[in-house]
Amino acid sequence: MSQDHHEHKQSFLSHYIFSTDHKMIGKQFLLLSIVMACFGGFMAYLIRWEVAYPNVPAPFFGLVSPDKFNAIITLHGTIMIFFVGMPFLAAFPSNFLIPLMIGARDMAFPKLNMASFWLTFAGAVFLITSFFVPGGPVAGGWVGYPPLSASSEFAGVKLGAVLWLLALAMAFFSSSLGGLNYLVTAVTLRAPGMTYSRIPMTVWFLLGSAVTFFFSVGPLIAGAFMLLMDNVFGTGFFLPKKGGEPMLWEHLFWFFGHPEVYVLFFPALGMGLDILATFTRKPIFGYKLILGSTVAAICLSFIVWAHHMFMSGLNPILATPFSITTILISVPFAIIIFCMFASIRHGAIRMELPFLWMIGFLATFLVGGLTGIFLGSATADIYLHGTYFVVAHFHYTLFPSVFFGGFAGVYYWFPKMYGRKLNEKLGLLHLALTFLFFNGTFWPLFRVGIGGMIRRIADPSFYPQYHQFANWNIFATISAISLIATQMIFLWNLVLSINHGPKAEKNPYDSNTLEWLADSPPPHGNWGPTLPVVTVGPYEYSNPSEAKDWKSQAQNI
Amino acid sequence: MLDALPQAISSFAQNIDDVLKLIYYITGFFFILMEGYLVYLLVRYRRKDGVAAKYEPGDKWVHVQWIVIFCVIITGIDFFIDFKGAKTWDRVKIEMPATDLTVKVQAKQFDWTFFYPGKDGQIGTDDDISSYRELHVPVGKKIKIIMTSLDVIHDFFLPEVRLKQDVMPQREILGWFDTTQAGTFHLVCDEICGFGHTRMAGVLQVDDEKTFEDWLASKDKEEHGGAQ
Repeated sequence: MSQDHHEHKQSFLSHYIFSTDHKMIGKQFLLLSIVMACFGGFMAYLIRWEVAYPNVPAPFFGLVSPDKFNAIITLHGTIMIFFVGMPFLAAFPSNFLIPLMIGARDMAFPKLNMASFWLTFAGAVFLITSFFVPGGPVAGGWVGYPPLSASSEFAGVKLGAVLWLLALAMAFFSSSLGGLNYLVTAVTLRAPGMTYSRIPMTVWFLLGSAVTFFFSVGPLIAGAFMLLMDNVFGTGFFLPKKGGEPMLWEHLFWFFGHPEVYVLFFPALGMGLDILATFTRKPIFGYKLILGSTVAAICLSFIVWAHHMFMSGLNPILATPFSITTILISVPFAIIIFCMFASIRHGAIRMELPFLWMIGFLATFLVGGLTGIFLGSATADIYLHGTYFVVAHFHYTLFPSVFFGGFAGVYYWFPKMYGRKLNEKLGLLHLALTFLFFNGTFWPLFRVGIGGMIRRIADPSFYPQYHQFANWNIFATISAISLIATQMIFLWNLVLSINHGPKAEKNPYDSNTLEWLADSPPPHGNWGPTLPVVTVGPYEYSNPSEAKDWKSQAQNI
Repeated sequence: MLDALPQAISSFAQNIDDVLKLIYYITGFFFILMEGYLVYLLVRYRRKDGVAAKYEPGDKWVHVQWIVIFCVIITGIDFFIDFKGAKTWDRVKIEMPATDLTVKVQAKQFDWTFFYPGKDGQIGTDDDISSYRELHVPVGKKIKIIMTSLDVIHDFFLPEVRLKQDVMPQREILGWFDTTQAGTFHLVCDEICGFGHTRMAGVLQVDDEKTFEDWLASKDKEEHGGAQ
């Protein structure tokens, strides 16, 4: 990671493919997530098509039969969480931003970093391959509850289950290696003067995300291994007939599954906070309060998992303690959201694209947070569990995080990544239509869910009681198709601007954090001969003792 | 939004709906308040020439206390919701009242079978009366259900009764419900259970006691030839 890093010529292969440069690896993760989002989005279209127009062949695909429907919902979930959300929100910003924002030249372990990307890539290949193997891909929902997922006896899936588990194993392995790298980098490679209290929020939240992943994934790795054994070697860890216990899987899965939501939420929050400070020209309100709340949220996230299992046959007495922890975890998040509001208050807001994406994130995530109160109540869950209300709720948490939060980050840091600016008008159109069609897709599903329509059924026309929701479902489907089509605007903007966008200066937003001191795009090794020397915190905006309304974290570059 | 709820036909359905309503109005209030405040902030604090942002790091207790106080209030409201709901939860899921009839619910890929006690009043004996996909119960009576699955996880969901319970293989989970009106209602499987899951529906038939007894007798005759 020393200076011999830069200046030497690289072949195409070592520059673009087997790169150990954190920035290139970040971009690889971004590209991978975009490719996988195309798969995931296409599946979303098939799901919505089948729900709105049951038994009518879907254009560009054909009939979504019940077995295909089950496989598609399973892979839609798996792809969107592990191969879109994780690379887009955790791996891409962590790789690209952590070294730049703390003033390092690269990651602590660049080769490990490269391995982390190629593991995810292999996982993605396994997952897509599983479509074409005999028996088809897994079809038991992304939660993969056994016994359905544990033996081909119940679902007819053979190799598909193995490939699915291998894909997950690759994703877990990759995120663990990545997380280790981010942590070690942030602890050991900070530029001189970059004390812990001067680390920007983006970096803190990316680290929080990595730590949360670390501590939650272990039990699920064990669980996934047991499930693999059940499938391949006929063991019976989760098969009651052989003395196993399916509910054990539910515990292991949700012990990971709930914190995983925060693994995806934290990066969006962190990037959002930095974007907020830049465009309100104000310090983040309550830096330490926010960090303290985040630590509390991480700790609590490990003791809320059973609220996913209120209906599972878990001892009903346990509903009360898990309801209480679920309530408690809303407190730190409420504090963070209020601190964000306080950061906007008394600001001098520059209404630029990244900021508007960030507001889109806040406005929509709020709905996800509030509707979580319904589902955190065990009593309300007796009715709402397993309905479209749940689908609407978690899409209102994950979609804002991954897409509104993620796009806020992409629009904000794009000039740094490619040295060019994205087209503003296309960006604005992308945002407005995404906001409109996202709400158009999922808001009606709250109503459909309250009406009692259950999720994961391929053919609602079989249920006379759901016929009343046919128009709502068609509305949601048209919105969903429009939402997916809208993303083409972004792809077009991306392709156009990478090569032909207007040149971006080093620091287009008058922002304080270190990455804006590097060239756009930063060279291999990031900094010239000298590292930045940090003298102030990241949020010295509009400090009355300064002449300008911003002050870079380092003055020596 | 809540007008989409299906009719409520059990003695606890109204309690569950009340919890839904309570949460709906509370979250609805905060939704309007917070989205409204966000819009206000954006309009009020947009950039104006000559007006600088205020330098507020919020690093002192006096500055952040109102946030903490607001959160304490919100936590109080949350606990209120849970406290209100807990009674209903206990009634539906924990306390087993004295019941009038026991039915065994057996799920398998991809249908439901219900077993009623025969003449000996016991379930699990040769004279059990079985019903395929149709759960008949007498109106107003408390029904104890013993739920089990023969293969994978299913979920027994009676939307109009507001009752839901996962059905686990090789395990017997107890539950109960009652009904307040006669009619034909719905039963669905609310846990993905394989390729036939989408059609694993059934019927909840609530009849007056006479009709129910007649139905049970005819089923008994059908199954056991009325020889007993």
